[in-house]
Amino acid sequence: MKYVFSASGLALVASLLSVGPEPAHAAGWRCIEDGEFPECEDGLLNAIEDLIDEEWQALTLSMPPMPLTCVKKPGTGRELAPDGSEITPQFTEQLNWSVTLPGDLRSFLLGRSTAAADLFGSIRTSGSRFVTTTWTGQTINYGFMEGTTDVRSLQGEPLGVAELGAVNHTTTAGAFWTDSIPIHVELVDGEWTCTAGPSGRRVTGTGRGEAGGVDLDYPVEWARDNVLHLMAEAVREQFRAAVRMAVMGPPEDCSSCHASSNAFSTERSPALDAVALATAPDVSHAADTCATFFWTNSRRAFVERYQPRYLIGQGLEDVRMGDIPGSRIRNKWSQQASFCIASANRYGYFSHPDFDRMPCRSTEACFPGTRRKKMSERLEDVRNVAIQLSRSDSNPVYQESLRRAKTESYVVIDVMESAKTAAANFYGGLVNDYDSLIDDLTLVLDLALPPSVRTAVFDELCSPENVAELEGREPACIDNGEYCELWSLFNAIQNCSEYQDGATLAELLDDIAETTDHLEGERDRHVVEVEAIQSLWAEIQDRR
Amino acid sequence: MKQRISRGRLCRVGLSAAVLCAVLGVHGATASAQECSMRYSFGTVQLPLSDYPAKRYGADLGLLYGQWEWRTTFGLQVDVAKALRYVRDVAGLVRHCIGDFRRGRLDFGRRQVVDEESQTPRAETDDEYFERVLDELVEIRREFAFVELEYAARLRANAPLVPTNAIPSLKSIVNETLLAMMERSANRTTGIGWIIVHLQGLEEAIEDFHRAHELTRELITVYLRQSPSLRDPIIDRLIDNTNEVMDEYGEFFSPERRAELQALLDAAEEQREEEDLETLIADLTEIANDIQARMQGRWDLDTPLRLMASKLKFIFGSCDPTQPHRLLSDEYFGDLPVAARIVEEGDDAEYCAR
Repeated sequence: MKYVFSASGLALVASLLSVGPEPAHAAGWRCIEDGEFPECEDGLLNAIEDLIDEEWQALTLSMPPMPLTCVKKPGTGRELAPDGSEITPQFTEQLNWSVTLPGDLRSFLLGRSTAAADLFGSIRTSGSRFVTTTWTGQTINYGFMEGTTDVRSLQGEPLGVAELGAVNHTTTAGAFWTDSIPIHVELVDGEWTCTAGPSGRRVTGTGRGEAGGVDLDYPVEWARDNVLHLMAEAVREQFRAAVRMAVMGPPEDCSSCHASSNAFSTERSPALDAVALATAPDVSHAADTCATFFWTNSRRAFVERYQPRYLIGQGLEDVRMGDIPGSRIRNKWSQQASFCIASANRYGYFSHPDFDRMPCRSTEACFPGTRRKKMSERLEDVRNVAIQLSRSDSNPVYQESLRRAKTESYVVIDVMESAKTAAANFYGGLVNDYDSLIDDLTLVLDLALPPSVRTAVFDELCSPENVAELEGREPACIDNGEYCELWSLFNAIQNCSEYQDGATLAELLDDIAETTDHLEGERDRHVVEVEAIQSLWAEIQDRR
Repeated sequence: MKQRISRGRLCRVGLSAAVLCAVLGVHGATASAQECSMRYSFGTVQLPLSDYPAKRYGADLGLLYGQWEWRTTFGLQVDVAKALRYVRDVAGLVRHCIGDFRRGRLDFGRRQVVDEESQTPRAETDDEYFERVLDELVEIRREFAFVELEYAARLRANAPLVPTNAIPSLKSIVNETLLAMMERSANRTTGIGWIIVHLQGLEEAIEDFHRAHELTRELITVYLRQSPSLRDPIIDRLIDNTNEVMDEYGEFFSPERRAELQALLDAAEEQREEEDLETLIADLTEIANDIQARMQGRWDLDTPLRLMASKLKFIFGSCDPTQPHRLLSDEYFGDLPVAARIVEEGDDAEYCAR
């Protein structure tokens, strides 16, 4: 079998062959969410990457305080200070110090289930008794796993984007990582010995106060884990801020963006201790994307049936995503619905079983079961959809979704025309049946006719075969894909039963006359059904 | 600064990807997963728009077994894993999109045709629609039958790298696609299910006709002699009873039979002028008998009804008479007595023969 290319396909091939492969530097792996490609699924991730890059700033990390103990050798130096106060021969302090992160996030990339951050620039240490020192040209590379919880808004709402999870690898480069952090302790005269650092990671130095005090060099290696751990959490916090901005848009007072980032140094995220390895859901490559809605791979939910209100961003609670704030997810939801609402698969509005069936009303014989909808009920449904799709919306995304959904829906509606015509004919046929029955009963009631003729007509009407056929009419009517009520028909059957049980025609005349009247009323309702089908169809066409 | 290009333009990354897009139909600007498309790292694959009159389909069944230009599409470096993935992915697209109105394989809409007499466009008549749409479904069902029978060979011919042990899972996609085709076709609003509902209506109309016709015959043979004034009401009944069926369900009768019935009704009309009562009774009796014979013979071999039944039996069946027919199941048309009649009267042997 050969495939015949569409005209546009041919044009594309020709241009591709003439253009040839793109230069490698121009390639990328994500689409751009803009006016031309508004449905780009990667748009959110792109935005997060861009935002974390653009909003990145140097952060100062408060390191755990470092214990310092200095002891003066007895007998050395003065015992009293010039003011006469006694010189303490020993003291202990907790040194507050900090590390300032590089101000350049060289790259931040989100993969399918990992993320990579590449930090480059200067690292500076400073603090009480710490000699402010700067190392330039330092590098830290982090690999993050996908977290198991969602980033939350400042109000605590999950945003549908997974946290950066555990760090699965870290690489560092530059002099800082093998160097030492200088500490200087100024002292009065005498010979002193100072020790800095927690148990097991202490450095000791001696010096004379007259010579300026004691200098200590604290190896970075001993602080490395803490520095990298806190830097990783700083990256996570920057990521959270970027996600909040990407999902919800920039806050009105953007000072809060940075405030939240800076808050990191004194407030550790509870997510820090909750990280765990996680992998994205295993999604079949051939999965029907209309079948589920996913905001990110961490949030995916089954769609039961697309509804017109989804086109204007409503109904996210139906897919358990109503708690995600911001307009982006609603836009995406609206766009997906616009592509899927008219699908021929079961989640499509017109292909879902609910389009065909409904619960019986309490006044109906089939209650509490379900029944097929009458054609007029289906068309009323279609008409309501057409009204909803014809509305205008000030949100351009919603408006475009409405337009697209309407176009797609009318493709389906057009296919219904044959069924509509057949149903109208079916009811038209019922009207004919009623007319025929009414004609027969009119003959029976026509006292001008010979009694033998009237009796013959009624005998035929009430023959066992005919009564059986009439009795079968209601289930047939329901089963035919149409729900209709034929009560008067059963009244006619009741008249026949009485006739067969011995009642004379003369005795039944009043009942037959009443039945004939009711039959006419019932026939008129079927006429109304036919008219409703025709008028609803016309209205649906008018809304095209 | 990261360089990015749009996904829709990713087909530019190389010649092989470009051909893939061309084979399956690329839809650059609006490519989306919801539109029978699938994203790969090298581009987006989308089923092309179907052109039903030209018999070009997005969800072409050949795509179920890798029937496209592999060498130029994926290059020479396609390995076993990728080959399987591509076939599975694209077959999955066909499964999801077989009933799609734009890129699928099923077209249940009324087409515009050029009227032979006026040379102006008009919608298909019921006769034309039934013939065309059922023939198309027969063609699809036959295609499925061959795909089912020859799947391994066709896959080997078109996608030799796909391992044999993957065939069962791929065949299950084919089976699901067939079921999707049947379910979509059976829909009573947007498929052709309404035709079977309509056939049920015909059966009931015929029952009504016979009841009324029996009475008419009795009026002719027994009471007309007693009350000659009944002549016009009797002729009216004869004509009305028949017209009620023909007006609503005439498309299920052959043109020849419709012409015969119309001739009989014309003959009945002429009896209004007949002055001899015995001749009138004899003629009307003969006409009534002839009309009844033609109504009873609606399932005869030469009528469209029998042919439709054969096609429907094949479309929804399995060609295995030992298996229960799907038409009779509750999910399809088990609620309609005419379904059993279709299975009984239909003869799918011709279609089932290879």
